Amino acid sequence: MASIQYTEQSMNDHIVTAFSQELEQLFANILRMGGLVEAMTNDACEAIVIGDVENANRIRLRDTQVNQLDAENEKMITEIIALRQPLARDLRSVLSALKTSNELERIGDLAKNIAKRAKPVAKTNRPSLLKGISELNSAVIGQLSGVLDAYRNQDAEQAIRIWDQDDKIDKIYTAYCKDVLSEMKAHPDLISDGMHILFIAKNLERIGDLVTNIAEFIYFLVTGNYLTLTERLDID
Amino acid sequence: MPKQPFKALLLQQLRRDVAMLTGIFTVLLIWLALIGELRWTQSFWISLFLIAMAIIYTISRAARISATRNVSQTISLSEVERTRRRAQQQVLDGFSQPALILTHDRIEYSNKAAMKLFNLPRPKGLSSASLRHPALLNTIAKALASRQAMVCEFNPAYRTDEPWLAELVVLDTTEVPARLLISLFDQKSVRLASSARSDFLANASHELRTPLTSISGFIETMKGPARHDLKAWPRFIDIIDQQVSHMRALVKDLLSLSRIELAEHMAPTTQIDLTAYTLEAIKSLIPQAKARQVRLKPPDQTSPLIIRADPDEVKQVIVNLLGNALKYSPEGSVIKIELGQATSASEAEAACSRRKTGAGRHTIIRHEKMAGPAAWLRIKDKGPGIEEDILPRLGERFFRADASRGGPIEGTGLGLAIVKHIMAHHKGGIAVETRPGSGTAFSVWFPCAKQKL
Ligand SMILES: Nc1ncnc2c1ncn2[C@@H]1O[C@H](COP(=O)(O)OP(=O)(O)OP(=O)(O)O)[C@@H](O)[C@H]1O
Ligand SMILES: [Mg+2]
Repeated sequence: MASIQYTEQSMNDHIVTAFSQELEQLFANILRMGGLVEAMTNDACEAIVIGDVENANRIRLRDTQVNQLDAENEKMITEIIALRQPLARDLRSVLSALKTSNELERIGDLAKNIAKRAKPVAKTNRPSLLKGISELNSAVIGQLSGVLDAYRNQDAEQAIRIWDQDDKIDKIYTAYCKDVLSEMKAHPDLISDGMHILFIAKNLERIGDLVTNIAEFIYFLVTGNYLTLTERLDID
Repeated sequence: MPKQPFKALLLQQLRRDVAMLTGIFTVLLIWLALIGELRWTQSFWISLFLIAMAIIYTISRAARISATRNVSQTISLSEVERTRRRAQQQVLDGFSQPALILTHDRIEYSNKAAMKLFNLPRPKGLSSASLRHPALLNTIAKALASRQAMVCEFNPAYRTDEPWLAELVVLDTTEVPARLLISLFDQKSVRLASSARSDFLANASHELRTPLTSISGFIETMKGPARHDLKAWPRFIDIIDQQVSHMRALVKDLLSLSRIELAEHMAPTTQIDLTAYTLEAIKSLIPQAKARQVRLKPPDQTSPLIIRADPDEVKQVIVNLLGNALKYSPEGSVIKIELGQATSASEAEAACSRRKTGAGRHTIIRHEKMAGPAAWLRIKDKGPGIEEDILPRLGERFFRADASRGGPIEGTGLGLAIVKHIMAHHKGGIAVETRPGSGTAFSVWFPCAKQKL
């Protein structure tokens, strides 16, 4: 099979090689998926904070769309590998697309899980408990948007920046957990609400971790090297 | 891309097998022919077999190649069309708000503001990759399918207080593929503006209601308990008269504010002499100054200063500022009026600022892009001055510093707001310098008219 290169086509004549078009479509699919989970995460947290159970239920349904896109991407990637047998950067693009798609699908699951807890938490009589969710959410959404931008722009430097900033989320998370735990100790009637809130926070923190994974894939895609894992170990 | 990759894979394997078999049989044929074991019918069949194999191979290759061709797409535009699109893109560059043009699922062009809003490195790309926002993408899909204009509110950065409105317009309903123009509007500023407007209305009606309540209160008293106390009536009537003139002043100020706002987008065209207008305004206020035993010290400058300005508005600026100075000056003090010319707006501003120690200074507005020489006017009184921390609030509608002090001086709190508006209209500036206890100086500067030499 003739080796087909992914060439940056000159935009004036609009002649696009089949392979570069497929890759572009794949990227667009992944970013579309990213946009979906971004909105899902944010809307789920908002629904939790304002106690909008109905909307939360609707958000849970959006996960099927994400799963569908993930399956579609996987199929597309199989096709590309089978037919185009990409090499070097093309191969890295395809591999990181596969992994990114999987991570995004997991973020979708976590967001769905957050939305699921809107109902039990809605009845809590201590709204101050939920304040940390907004804070954690905006930190996570910031990271997620940043990593998706880095993916679209194929920007390794931004990927590193995102990767470095994950401990901000971890800090907010640990502080928030402490607050919730002390509230739970002081008011035993809050234990079940508190548990749900802790799970929500944990899910958000997990999303942050998945974001750093995506940042690693981007780095790998662009440079061909792996971001070192040593620094991540001491956080957990 | 073929629909079923695994079938395509089979095709590929088939081709490989065919090639292998062809190779083996060719070798066999040559070998058999060489040792002379082959009758010609046999070699005919084997050759036929080989040709068939070659044909199958070629067909499988062709299938492969056509699969590639199906996806590769060539959009060639005529030169006329290209020029038209380039012109449209240039129009987008002229917009200050974010705007993009979409051709089907691809961003054909986005202006600087849109690239900034969506954090795009290039003005082009697939829309789902570049815009990403599900609500926006869904609306785009709907607009493309129905070929109808649509709007969508969304929140690009997921911050609750920063909603944007996207307006989608189909550029040419007959064009294939469809092209969309998307313009985006920051709802935050719209909301702020509308809340400012309703604040203003609330303030205005409150300001009008206060004297009205007092008037109706006194009328009630005169009709009721004080019906026969005719001796008290002149006092009541005086108060009513006072309130009525306050209301009249308010209405007058409100009307002039709205008139100035109406004309705000039209640059003044007339050329007038600032010196003459200042002297005239001083003359008109002399009776008022005499009554308060305040001396108005006229400017040294007597030669004309030609500015491009609206005569009524300039008159209003001078009268409002001088009126304030008179109102807030103690009896027997002097108000110093100065005029001058400078080579630029910043020079004019510098000329007006005297930088006394202990004095607070604040520029209420300044037109940044004012070019060419400027004429300035400075009015300095020996009044109570203004506290430094409220300087930024000067020019706000209905803001009165001595209202909080419970001062006895009458006023609507619109005078400086009007001056500020007029100076914005003239692309000039206004600044204040003040020291509590020793006096206040207000300065304004106008761009000079370009004179033909
Ligand atoms: N020369 C000055 N000396 C001290 N304070 C001043 C001076 N000029 C303005 N101020 C302060 O700024 C406030 C706003 O002035 P502005 O001219 O807008 O309203 P006003 O004089 O109270 O009412 P009016 O609309 O009738 O002029 C005044 O209430 C006053 O406190
Ligand atoms: Mg005034």
